[in-house]
Amino acid sequence: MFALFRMLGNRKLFILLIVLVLFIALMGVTLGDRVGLTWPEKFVKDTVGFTQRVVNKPASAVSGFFKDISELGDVYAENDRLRIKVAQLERDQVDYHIEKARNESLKKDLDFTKTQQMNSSKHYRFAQVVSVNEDVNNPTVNIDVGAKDGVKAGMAVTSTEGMVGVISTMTDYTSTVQLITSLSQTSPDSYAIAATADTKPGSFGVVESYDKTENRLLMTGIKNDNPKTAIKYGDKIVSSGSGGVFPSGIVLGIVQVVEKSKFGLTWTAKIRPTADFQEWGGLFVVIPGAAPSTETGDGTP
Amino acid sequence: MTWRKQVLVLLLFVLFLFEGSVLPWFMPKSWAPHLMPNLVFVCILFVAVYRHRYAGMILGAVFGMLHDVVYYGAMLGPYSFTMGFTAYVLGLIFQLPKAPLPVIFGVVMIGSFMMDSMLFGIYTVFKFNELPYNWALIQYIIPDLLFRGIFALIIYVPIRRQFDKMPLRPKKSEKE
Repeated sequence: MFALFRMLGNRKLFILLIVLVLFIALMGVTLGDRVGLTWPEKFVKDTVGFTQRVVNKPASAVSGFFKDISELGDVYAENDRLRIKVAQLERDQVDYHIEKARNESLKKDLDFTKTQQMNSSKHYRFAQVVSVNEDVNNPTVNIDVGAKDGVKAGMAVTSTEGMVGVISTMTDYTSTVQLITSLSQTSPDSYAIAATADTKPGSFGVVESYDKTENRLLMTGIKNDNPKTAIKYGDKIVSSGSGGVFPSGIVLGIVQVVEKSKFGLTWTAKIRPTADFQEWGGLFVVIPGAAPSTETGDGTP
Repeated sequence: MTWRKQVLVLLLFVLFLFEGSVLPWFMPKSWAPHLMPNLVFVCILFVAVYRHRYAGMILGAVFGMLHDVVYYGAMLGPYSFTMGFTAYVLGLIFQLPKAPLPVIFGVVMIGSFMMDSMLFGIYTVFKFNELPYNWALIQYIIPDLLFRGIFALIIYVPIRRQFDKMPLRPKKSEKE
């Protein structure tokens, strides 16, 4: 210790300690749920976000071009597959609209409250990823929509395949998405997603942690009493909307393993996320409530 | 007076944009969970060794804070503190205007290892991370170290040439 004193000199050691204390205080203050950002943060985020958008546009175009070329061989097969899918979807859409109209009229008859209606309907806002933070402990991506587009902190963000993360902070023109891979029960930013299997109404579990070593989401608290609603291998897990935080119907992943929990009363499912967290193109911010313009409709991606 | 210093700081900002907005689109998919390409940090270590530790420290703190604010997910401060501190300590030990390639290569490796380990420590203390250190070591600390070392080898010649053209001012501390 004395050698260190002599090496740095008393004054420098003192400054170092003060800086250490200041940084720990800064980390502690900015930890967890902050409501708004201060103006310097907003200024930096907006200006850097703008330049990142400018830099990213040609880069993603070029990388997309190379990807397109490498996938040129599969185009015909994919086209056939998609054509069949579109025909199927068009048939289903008719059924869907009928069911939706009936559902809404039933809801009106049953006097659903405003929040209940908000939770059952949602629309999607398209966003482009402008930058990626490849940090294992704090994985975030920045997208090019912000408070001006109706985005709020805590909203879910999905790719075309499944849920990617939640909005952690936003400025007027950009927002930061905290990826679902950092989901953890102990972390100060923890949140839980009420989830269910999409074909089994009545099944229920809570997704609140992510296993980084196996790359699996953990869904806990499943009561597999009723064999009809028991969650099994291969089920598609979607958000149930009953928590009131995320609207229903956001795809999370596919069940891989179901095992008894630590205390043996409930079951725990390991879910493989359908979204991949490596390839970044467009994302969708899930905004609760019906779309402001009828033209975009339900806007299912 | 030439604008070399200012241009270099601007290039550092361009590199910051590059590592966030361009590199992830061109990196092989299987590398993504193993790499945090913090290339700005490598350049800041060059500054700390070839110029002055205070210049390295201030640049590290400023660009670390920029990183913290722009990618604000968990908290502000970890990158700013670790980048500034690592640049200062390594500048204190290795500051040598004529340092040859093996020295700077070693400095970048040690710096990368120090920074990732400190980040691991900070995130563990604040409960963002619950995995053991040996997992982190294999998963990203060692791949990072190699990646940054190779990047240091690539930029060594151009950066060294620029620094040799800049006159050293031993008395005044150089801020930016």
